[in-house]
Amino acid sequence: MFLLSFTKLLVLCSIIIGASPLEASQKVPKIITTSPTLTELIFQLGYGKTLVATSEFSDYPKEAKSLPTIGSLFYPSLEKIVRFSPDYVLVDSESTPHTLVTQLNKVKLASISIHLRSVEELFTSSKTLLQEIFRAQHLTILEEKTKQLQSNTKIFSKNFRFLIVAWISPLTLFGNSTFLSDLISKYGGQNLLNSNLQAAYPQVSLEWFVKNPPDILFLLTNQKENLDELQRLAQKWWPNQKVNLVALSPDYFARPTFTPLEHISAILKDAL
Amino acid sequence: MKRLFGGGLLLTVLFICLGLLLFGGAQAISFDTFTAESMTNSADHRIFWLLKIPRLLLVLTVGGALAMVGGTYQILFNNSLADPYILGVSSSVTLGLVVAEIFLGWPSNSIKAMGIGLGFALIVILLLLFCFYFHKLQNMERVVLFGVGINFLFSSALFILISLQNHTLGSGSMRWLFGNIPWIELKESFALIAITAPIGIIIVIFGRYLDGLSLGDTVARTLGFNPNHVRGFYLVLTSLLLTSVTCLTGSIGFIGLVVPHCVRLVFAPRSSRVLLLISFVFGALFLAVSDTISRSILPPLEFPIGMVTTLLGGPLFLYLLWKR
Repeated sequence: MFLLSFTKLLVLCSIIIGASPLEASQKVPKIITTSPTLTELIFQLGYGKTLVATSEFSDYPKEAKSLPTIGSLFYPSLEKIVRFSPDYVLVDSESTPHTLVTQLNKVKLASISIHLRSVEELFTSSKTLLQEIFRAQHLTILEEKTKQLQSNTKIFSKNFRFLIVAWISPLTLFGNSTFLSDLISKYGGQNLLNSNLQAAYPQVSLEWFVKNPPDILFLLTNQKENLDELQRLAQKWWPNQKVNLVALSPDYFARPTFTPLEHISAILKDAL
Repeated sequence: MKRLFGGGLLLTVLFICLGLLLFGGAQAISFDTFTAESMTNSADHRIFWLLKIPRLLLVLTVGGALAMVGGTYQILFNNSLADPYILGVSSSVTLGLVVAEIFLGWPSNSIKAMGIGLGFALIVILLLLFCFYFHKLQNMERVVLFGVGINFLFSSALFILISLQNHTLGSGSMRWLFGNIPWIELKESFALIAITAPIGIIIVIFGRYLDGLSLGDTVARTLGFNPNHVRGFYLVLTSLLLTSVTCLTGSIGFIGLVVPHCVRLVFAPRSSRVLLLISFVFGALFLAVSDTISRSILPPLEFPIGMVTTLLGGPLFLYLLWKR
């Protein structure tokens, strides 16, 4: 009898320890995220098991796929959120409708808006999450990521001009106020778009684009045809200039989490 | 005389704007581009020949075609609110392109995707003709209502498809809803002209039948032609014309609705042929000017073309309406 109870206790402890870095005595908060980005971030911080639901297309890491969903990024269902009775709803300020926060307040659900438009915001938001929600005593994971970023950026001393293409037609670029642009800037890059431009993904005229060739032209795509098409066009538009064309896989670079930080230096090493 | 002078003045202003389009826009280029030998390989030279000229040909063709189709529909349906998108042909093209992009992974500016768009449009055109001839849709009001129904159905399907996509970065498909002038090469511009010009010419040549229709079915019969055959003929022609331009640009609003009305108010043309011809010229120039403005307001930003056409055309139309 005693042996059985002891085994149960061991199993329980292992579940709690394995589930998340939360203290065993601490109540596990129930979290809902409203975007795939936030889902990925929570898993990266080591608290994936606290998620009770998330938005559609939360496909990374694999465990996220099995979570129940509360609707799509732009149309989250308040009814579904309420049904899960979460302790916190993490709202992606970039994409989730602003009305959701008001609605959540009305139904007395705590929500936290997360901004992820720069590398700095990624770290500060992560720190907020770790300290305020998960009551983490140590921020080891963030310290490691900071060190990793610092050592990676040190290698790159060369300055270069770049543009990031989100879509070819209509020609839509990543503005300065995007996470990806900020990340590449940390490695010595300068986004050719005017830094006063507030739009995150501005549609720009092709004439301006042709007149301002970058050193590296990034294209967010998984499809080889898109890259080939841009390569063909680049040869026409800039026959006398060397424009390095680099594909960024959306699997690694579309979401402002720690994943792009892990892959960008390898890409830039090849490109430069 | 006064009307002629006004029209001439307006046309001159529009031609000046056209010059500004070629040499102004987001990146102004100088005349030296064509004189100095060293400039022949410059960025300005490439911008002019690779970007500005094909784009100008495209917007002139698309603007003209939309105004012409709008003018034709207004006569055909005897409805002053008829615009090129009233029959649902363009929303079917848009749906086809988005389906090709989402489910088949074909870029919407590829020939394959346009083939799917064309296929969707042909289904709607055939359905329209079938209903028109065999299912008592010969009342034009019913045809319009049928088109409105198709439009709602396809637009809803389009919105559902777009909202079901992975919105990690939003969706390029949204451009079809607001209209977009894509980059095309010179040979593609000529290919579009080669497709649309014969259709436009046929529409104008047979314009006298539209005059007959505008006087009513009884008069049309006494003039010696079957009004329903003429309607069917024009439905097919205009749908093909519309399909060929929508495949490239998506739905650009306002031009097809308002340009023919403005032409009526300014020139008061006496025949459908003249109306359609002048509508073509003004629709073409109006879209060209709107396109220049969309790229010049806040360079390097480019605003959705449909937004500019509405902002420009709305006050102009209201002014003309007020003056007359």
